[in-house]
Amino acid sequence: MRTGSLKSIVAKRLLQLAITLVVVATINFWLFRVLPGSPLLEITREGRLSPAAVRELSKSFGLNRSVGYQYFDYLTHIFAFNTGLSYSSQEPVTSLLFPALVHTLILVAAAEFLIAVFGIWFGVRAGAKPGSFLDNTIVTSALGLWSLPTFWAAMLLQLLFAVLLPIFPIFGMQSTSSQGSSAGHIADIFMHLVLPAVSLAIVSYGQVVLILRNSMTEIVGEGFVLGVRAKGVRERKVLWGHVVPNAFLPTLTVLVLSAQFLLAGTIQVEVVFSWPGLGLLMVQAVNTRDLPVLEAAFFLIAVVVVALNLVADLLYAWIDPRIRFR
Amino acid sequence: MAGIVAVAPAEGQLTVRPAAAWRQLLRNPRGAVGLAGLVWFVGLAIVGAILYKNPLPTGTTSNSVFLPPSGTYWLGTDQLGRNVFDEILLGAQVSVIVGFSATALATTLGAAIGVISGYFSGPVDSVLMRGTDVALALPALPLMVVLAAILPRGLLTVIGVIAVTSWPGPARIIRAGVLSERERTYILRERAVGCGEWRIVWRYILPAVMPLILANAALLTAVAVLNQAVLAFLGLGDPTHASWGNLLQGAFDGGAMLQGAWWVIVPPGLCIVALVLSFTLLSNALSDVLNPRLKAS
Repeated sequence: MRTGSLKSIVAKRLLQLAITLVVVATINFWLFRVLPGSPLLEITREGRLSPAAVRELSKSFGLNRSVGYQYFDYLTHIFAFNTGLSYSSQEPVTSLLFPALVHTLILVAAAEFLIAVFGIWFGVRAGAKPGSFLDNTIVTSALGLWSLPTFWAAMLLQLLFAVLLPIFPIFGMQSTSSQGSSAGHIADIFMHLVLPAVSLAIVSYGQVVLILRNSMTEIVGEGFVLGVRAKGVRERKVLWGHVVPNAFLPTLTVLVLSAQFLLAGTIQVEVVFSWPGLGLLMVQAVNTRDLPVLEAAFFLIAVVVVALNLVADLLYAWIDPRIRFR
Repeated sequence: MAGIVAVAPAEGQLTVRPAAAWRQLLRNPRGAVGLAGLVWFVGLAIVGAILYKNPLPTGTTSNSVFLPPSGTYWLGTDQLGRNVFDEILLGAQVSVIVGFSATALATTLGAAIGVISGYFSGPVDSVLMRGTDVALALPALPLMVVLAAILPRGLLTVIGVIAVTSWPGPARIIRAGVLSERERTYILRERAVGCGEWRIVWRYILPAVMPLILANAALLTAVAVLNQAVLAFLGLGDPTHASWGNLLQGAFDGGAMLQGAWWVIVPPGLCIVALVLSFTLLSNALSDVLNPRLKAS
């Protein structure tokens, strides 16, 4: 980033965001509209239609227009997440999409909280004494956790804590018996949330802890830390009073960025636990060939991920003047 | 030109002799474990390919479904009465094949873009890097799901969609390596004595960034193995060939969780973890061993 002011960084990032979203929309357009057969194939596969009926259908989809016209028409619809009616439920796609997004965000927020608490704690411990036994243990276990397929970690937790030891519910977001907004209902959702959130957190925790540990190690090696130590400040105070505040920025960025890994992992966790979020919606749409839902869900996930990227970048530039004036 | 190089050994050029690198890799605990795991699983895949024919026979009676481990069935049977032990051996090849092919594709593409972008800079660089930024910003797993859902099912699709989502990482890393290498004295000298641009890239730049490429490729393979399993679990893999992901998906859909049939769930997952971990450790060790500059700092 060579540009000086925060404003120009924001402008640049916003432009980049817009370009990325147009690229995603274009990928969508080619995959779902231009590839041979779609979307007419999906409708006509049930039975043979007369050529006149096919022509009529093409017209109603705008398929008789030029590709350029269709493309711009598509862009205006996808940016409103309006890709029509779901093939399987005949509801507008948007009415399925937004409740699912809320459920996914609940899950991601819970996992993010767990990662922040455990990632910072262990990352700081490991980074404070690079090469120590504790550091090696934490790094090795982080690599191990990173190597877990998220869906498998979810299956193991489900098997252990919902089937063999029936502490938590096996799947879903709430029991059918508890409804309304009472405290009991919230407790019910919480019980359903524990296992999905933990399985989602476990895998990304490995990633976060490694990055935190590395930035901690770098800061521990800097001159000012030696200076503080030389003044006779106690080791505990050096760590939490001087090193950690300086590691705050990379930490924050990593946490915001980790929400992306979480959004990817959430597809797998939602399938295992039948958590009614965007990921489950997407996979169900794949299985039922419900293309309007699939393309809109993909686009919505892309919007959330790209927006998170933007937030991370701006936080970084806003908090740390060195980024702006370098 | 050759004569000039001979009288003045290329100072500034840090090369790693292969034999020494091997010795160091084997002496590095993470490297040794990773390499051992890699050899073990490639061996397993070959043995599986020789011993078994895809698809495996299913159980003959309904009594042979979800049998716990026993003398006959070391790891029990699955929802179709198939021997889980056999399935794991037969499934190893898919992980290995997809891991290596997707990585080879992604690394070649990423290295080409990274080298071109880093070495020729200017407008070529800006265009390529903006493209890479956009590709890097796309959510990988959702993109893979959408692509695999639209394209015909099969191993080639799996390899393709994994490669398509994993080239931007290597492209960035390699470009950074090239940028720092390009301005070194020995490159400037080669250019001064009239060495052609492509020759410089091929003869000097590429070998210099090779450690980066290799360490990154090992990591990409780990990610590719994970992604293959995830796609298979989501029902987007090659349904006709046994793989660890297919095994887990079949067991999950077949009600293994409610039956508590841990023997179908735990072993294939452990295999995935062990293979992924082997590549992760190998990558970790490779970047230590092959990057003398990193070690010096």
